[in-house]
Amino acid sequence: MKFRIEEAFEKYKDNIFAIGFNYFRNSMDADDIVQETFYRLYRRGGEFENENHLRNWLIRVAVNECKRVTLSSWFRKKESLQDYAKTLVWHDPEESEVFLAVMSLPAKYRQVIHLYYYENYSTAEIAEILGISSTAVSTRLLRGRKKMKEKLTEVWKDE
Amino acid sequence: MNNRELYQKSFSRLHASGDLDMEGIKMREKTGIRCRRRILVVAAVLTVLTAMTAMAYAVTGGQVIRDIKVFIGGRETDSVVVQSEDGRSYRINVKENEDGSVSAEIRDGEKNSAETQAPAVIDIEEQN
Repeated sequence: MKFRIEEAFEKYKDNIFAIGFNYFRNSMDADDIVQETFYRLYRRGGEFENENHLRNWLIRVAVNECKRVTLSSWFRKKESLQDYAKTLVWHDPEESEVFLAVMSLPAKYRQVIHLYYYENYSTAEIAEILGISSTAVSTRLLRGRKKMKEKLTEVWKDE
Repeated sequence: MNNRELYQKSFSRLHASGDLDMEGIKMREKTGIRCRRRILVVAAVLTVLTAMTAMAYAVTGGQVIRDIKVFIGGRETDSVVVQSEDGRSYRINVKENEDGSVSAEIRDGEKNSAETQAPAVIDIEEQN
């Protein structure tokens, strides 16, 4: 499948941004992840088997870039999460509650929860993307959900 | 609304900066400037500066360096201005080489200059 990079950028930039934000909890680092991911796509060129292959490639590259940047955490940019949340347009108070609750979780739970709930990946797929076992993914998902329930008693449903 | 729908609704409010576009990202191919690399180059600058202390000492005629300012705002060249005790300024130009290493050159605006090279701290692999 041939792809037009401008179309791919418009279609997936916000997904990649959300992955970056989930890791770093600030929009500047997340924008850097978007830039780096699509720069790599531009350099790669070529074809993908299908749309899903393209999407998976982008997400995998974004996650790897997040990990790489995390290793050099001394130059992470600073931004208040609360201030950033105020700049977002929420249609419902529950949305911001969920956002802030997720952001208050430890990174290892946030990553798994985001890939599961936002990107609709299975535990096996998440395990492959993050390079950890399916059991570890399931455990983090379970604990992450439990913490979400503790923080969002009314909003977050039992699963 | 179930948890997944609520989660997706919440995170759909996040958007990448409107300043980002593919044209700008493609431009990096021409300028060679990559966001993270620029930051990593700063790390390399610090490494190079350590290695250059002795050279700077020689070039400045034995003056002790008392002030270092780092300018990262420029797009084409990353440079460092070193000021010696007698108030004279020396510019260190730092550039990223094609092989990934980082070179630095110190100049005092006259005939004195020195050059050194440090292994890059940058190692970005293409992923397929």
